[in-house]
Amino acid sequence: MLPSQYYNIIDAIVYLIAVIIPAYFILKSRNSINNNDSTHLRKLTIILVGFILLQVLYHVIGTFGFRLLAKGFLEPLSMAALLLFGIIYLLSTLKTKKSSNNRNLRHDKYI
Amino acid sequence: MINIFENNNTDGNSYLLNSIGDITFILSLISLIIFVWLAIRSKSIKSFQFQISIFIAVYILGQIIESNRIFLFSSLPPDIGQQIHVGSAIFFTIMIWIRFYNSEKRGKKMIESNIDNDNSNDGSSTTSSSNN
Repeated sequence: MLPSQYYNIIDAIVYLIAVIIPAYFILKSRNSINNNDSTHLRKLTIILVGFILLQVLYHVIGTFGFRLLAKGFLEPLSMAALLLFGIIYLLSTLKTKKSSNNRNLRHDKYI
Repeated sequence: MINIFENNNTDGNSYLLNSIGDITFILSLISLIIFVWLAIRSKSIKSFQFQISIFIAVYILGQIIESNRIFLFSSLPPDIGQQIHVGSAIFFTIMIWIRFYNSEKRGKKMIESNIDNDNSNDGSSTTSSSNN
């Protein structure tokens, strides 16, 4: 076995350990009350799980030596998932900030 | 035609891999910029945004060294890029588990919103998941 294959196996195992927590939250949130905030966070968590699982798949495929499929398709796809996570996180932050400012403005008007 | 299940690297494939590697690098760099900007806004090193920025930065460093295209890093051992990738994965996993542990212990969210940070800039509002 090549050292690179060992590293790929370690990476896959480590990411699998990481995915337990967000996957647990997704399962837990299925039973919770659906408000706007929890739906949004659930969406974010699903994208994070997607990123981690793509990383796992990328390292597993890499272990078997399919370098082109792993490096050429799965790695950029996982990075695209991370970028999507960042964009949605950014948008939700800006949205929350904006709605909070509007609330404050309305409050000031009443005063 | 390119066979994506091909095991060995021909010259054409390595050129393609280099090009796709550049795309991956750009995608991860944009993610890093977004999270660094969010981390600056959150003004706390304990925030999820800051910690994920560290993870992406280490991942990018591993990618740069692994690609072996920068002269400065050419003297480093060949496996160091992959070792850095393992390091970033371990950091990410520890980060997620510690945030989970803290959120369970203190009953707080695992991923804080910026509004939370604006209200309490001491960074005490830890992480996550909403659904706790």
